[in-house]
Amino acid sequence: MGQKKKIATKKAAGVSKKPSAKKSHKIATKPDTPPAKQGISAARKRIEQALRESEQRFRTLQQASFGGIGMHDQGIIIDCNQGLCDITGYTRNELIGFDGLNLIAPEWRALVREKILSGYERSYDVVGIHRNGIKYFLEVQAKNVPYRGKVVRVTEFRDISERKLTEEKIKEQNARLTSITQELKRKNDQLEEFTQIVSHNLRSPVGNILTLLTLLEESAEETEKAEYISLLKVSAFAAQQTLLELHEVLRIKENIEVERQHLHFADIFSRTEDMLSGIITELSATVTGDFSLAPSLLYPGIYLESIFLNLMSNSLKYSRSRVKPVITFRTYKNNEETILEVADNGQGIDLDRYGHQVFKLHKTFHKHPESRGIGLFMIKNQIETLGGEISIESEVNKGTKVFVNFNKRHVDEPETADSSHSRR
Amino acid sequence: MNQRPRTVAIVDDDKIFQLTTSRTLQIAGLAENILQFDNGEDALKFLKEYAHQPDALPDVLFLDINMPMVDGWMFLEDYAVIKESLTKPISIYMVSSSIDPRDVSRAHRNENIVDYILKPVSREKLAEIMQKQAEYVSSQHLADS
Repeated sequence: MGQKKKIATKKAAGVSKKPSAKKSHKIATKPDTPPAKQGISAARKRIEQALRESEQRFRTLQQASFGGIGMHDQGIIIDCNQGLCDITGYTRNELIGFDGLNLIAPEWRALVREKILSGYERSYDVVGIHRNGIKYFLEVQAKNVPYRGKVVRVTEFRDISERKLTEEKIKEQNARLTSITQELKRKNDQLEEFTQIVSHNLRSPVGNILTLLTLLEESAEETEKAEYISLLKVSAFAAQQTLLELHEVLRIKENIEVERQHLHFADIFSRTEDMLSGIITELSATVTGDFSLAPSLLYPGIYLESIFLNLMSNSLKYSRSRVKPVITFRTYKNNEETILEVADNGQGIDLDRYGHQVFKLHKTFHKHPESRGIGLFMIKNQIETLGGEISIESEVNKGTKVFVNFNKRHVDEPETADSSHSRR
Repeated sequence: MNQRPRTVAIVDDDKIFQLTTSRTLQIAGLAENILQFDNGEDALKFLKEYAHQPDALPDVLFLDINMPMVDGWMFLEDYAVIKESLTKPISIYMVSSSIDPRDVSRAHRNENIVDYILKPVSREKLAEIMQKQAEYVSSQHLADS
């Protein structure tokens, strides 16, 4: 209450400035004035002077403040500094009489109202709205103070767009670094796998060639020699085949920016069916496709064809004898992700035992003459290079389900910043 | 007196390696019986079946790493379990084209592996292995008698 009195007196002092000055002059020229009265007048003068200085200091400070300061009475702005004009884009005249909540973005007003009603006095972040409609990040701090006999709320606005932007930039950078690290780790793993493949798959036929040559040199029998020569051809062909496959893998890895096309799953499906129609008829297989939940995809055509062909031919190849193959292809959406699910009723794979090998090159799990073990390895590379993921579920003698998530959203990808929060 | 190791098993999905190795062993007179298996599973099945017939069991087993179905590592896991039931000690050599140091050290850490041999395997190397086995067998005989 003392404060209230002081402010009221200050105002009064301001109004009676001139007479007071005259009075003091009078006092000075009237030596007969009792000393006590003189003392009171001098004290009053000193107080008035102090008040003027205080008012002046307050004004200066308010104007010098980088923040926007406003005084609100029942939500209506009754006074403000230049800082508030600078931040909000309104003139002082426009702001006085204005509902302070209008300076806050509509979706944040409820929160601010709640803070006002509860007399909250600590700072908090909201989104402000500039006179030109552009939203910006704002830190607000307010305090209820007594003023001219009532309680008003003094609010300081601080534009923290800069800080928010920096924060976002740091978050973005951090997310980028995390994703780069993951990408490097993935590349490194692939490189190690690649070395392993080169080591094994090239050395094997070359080693065979060397041994066969020794045997050939020592052999006297023509039929034996002919046998060795034909095996030499097989080994040389195997080496060449491996080279071609490795080249293919490298080509996929390099080719991340391969052109994506707007593809309809149904088209790719029927093309794949046509390619495998011979074996489908032979096995009396039922192959169906339902792509109604996610009919299309932006993806490189050759890759999608390769994925469909490999998965369909695997399901056909590893069907159970005396069980007619039933193979279903379907696509659906999981949030923003497009998933392809291929299910069959075939032999299945014991994943506990062979799970670690499923997607390795030249790994086969069935004594099938046509098993070459390239398919899953190759499509895994294609899918992952384009940011997707492939996984498998299987039960021996029941069947296998393969899931291809074409555009897996990685959990630690940066959250896209709300575009409406742009800088004014 | 059957002191000399005469039975060799080759566990490898590479048919050409099977053929060249068995021919080399035959030509050099290093083995009498050569058992060939395309994968670990078939080899394990055989070992279980003939566990009580020492004459049928191999003295030396050449084990490939990369094979379809049961690969070399998986073979070793199962071998460790059935080992006690076998009536003859088997010297297992891991034979692979892999120069990956992880494969090499993993093989060396396995107590059932005598050595890791890189393909191609020369006749000299085969002779050395069979010689070592013969020495081992005779030392066992001396210890037994």
